[in-house]
Amino acid sequence: MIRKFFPPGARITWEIPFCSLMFGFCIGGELSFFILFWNKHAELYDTHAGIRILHPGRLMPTLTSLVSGLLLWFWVLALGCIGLAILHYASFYRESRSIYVMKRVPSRAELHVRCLTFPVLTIVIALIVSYVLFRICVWYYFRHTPEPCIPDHVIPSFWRVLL
Amino acid sequence: MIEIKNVSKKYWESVKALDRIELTIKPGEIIGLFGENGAGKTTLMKSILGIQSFDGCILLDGEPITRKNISRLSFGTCEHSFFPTLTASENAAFFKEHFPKFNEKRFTGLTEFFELPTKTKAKNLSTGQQNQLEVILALSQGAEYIFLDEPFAGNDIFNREDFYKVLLGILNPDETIVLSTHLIEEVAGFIDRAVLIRKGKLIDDRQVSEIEAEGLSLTDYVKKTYGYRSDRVSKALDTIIGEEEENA
Repeated sequence: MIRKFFPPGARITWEIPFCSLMFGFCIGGELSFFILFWNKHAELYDTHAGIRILHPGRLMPTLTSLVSGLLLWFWVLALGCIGLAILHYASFYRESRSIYVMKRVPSRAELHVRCLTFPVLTIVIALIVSYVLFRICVWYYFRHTPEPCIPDHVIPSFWRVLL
Repeated sequence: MIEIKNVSKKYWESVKALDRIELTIKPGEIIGLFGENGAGKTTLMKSILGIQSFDGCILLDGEPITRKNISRLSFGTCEHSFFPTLTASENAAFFKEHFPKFNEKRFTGLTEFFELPTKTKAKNLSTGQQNQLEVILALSQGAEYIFLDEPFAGNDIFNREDFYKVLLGILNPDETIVLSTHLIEEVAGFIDRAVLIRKGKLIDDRQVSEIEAEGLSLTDYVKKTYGYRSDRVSKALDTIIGEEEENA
């Protein structure tokens, strides 16, 4: 069944683990926000005689600086998936011209379904998961950052559209 | 019926691959398409099959060839168009899934006759076996018009002869074959009609029976129509050998 969404003869046993790994890196990268957040959060405090005191004037980094770098793996995944889609199309020209058969099948969508479904689905799922994680990160940031330490313009105006 | 009306094709805006071709292909015909390398045989077939763009008009029973009716056409090419990483059986399964008229009985019968391995990936078959698979798939698709472009390049003569004989035996009366080949003598007893192309132009279109009535063999007819000069080789040899003797 799943083979209907790949070019005939595609190495599914290689493609699915590869994309899963990329997906794992993407989510892992985004989850590392929490490590970064708590490192920066700890820097807001001074410790005197075992008591943590909020250092006046210290600010948390903006959300942009905390999150932007973490999205790198999403872009790597997206590029990987675009590359995979190109490889899928190229497979119909490799070692034979099976594209001639694809041009004769009654469904015009067949070629594109087989080339694009898996890469596009991977990107869409990664995008949805990334968006949910992003919302959680924003919530977490405001929930755990002491109010005096929240910098001005903590969320750029274009991000507000996403929230 | 396929009607090819005023079809032209240019590469890079200057090279004329097809020049105002007018041709009608009727159901049940077996047509030989002849011409030297680069004459436009493959280009004509690919234009009919919608694989490449062209100027002019090609109609199948009065309608343009689109996704709606393209499965009435099949194509076997020396470039090969099977899926190389699938076995013959898996290729057949793909055809069966997508072409409702796929003739499984014919596929099985032909693969058994030619002892074609059905569990080996197509890319691992010999060139001759790959050609066989290509032609078997084209014949089994269930198409009414079957285009074969130099399908047996790389097959031995016995294999080719077997194929022509089997082909004549299995074809339904409404199935049409358009066969492009350089092996004119071999197909002489097989085709009904000869179409000659030269430099993108259709230069002649004759029934084989007419050619035979004139007392010509198909090969002689093609040579004559092409203006082939049989004394060309002996003259060239005389010149070369003469020069060598003078030098000696």
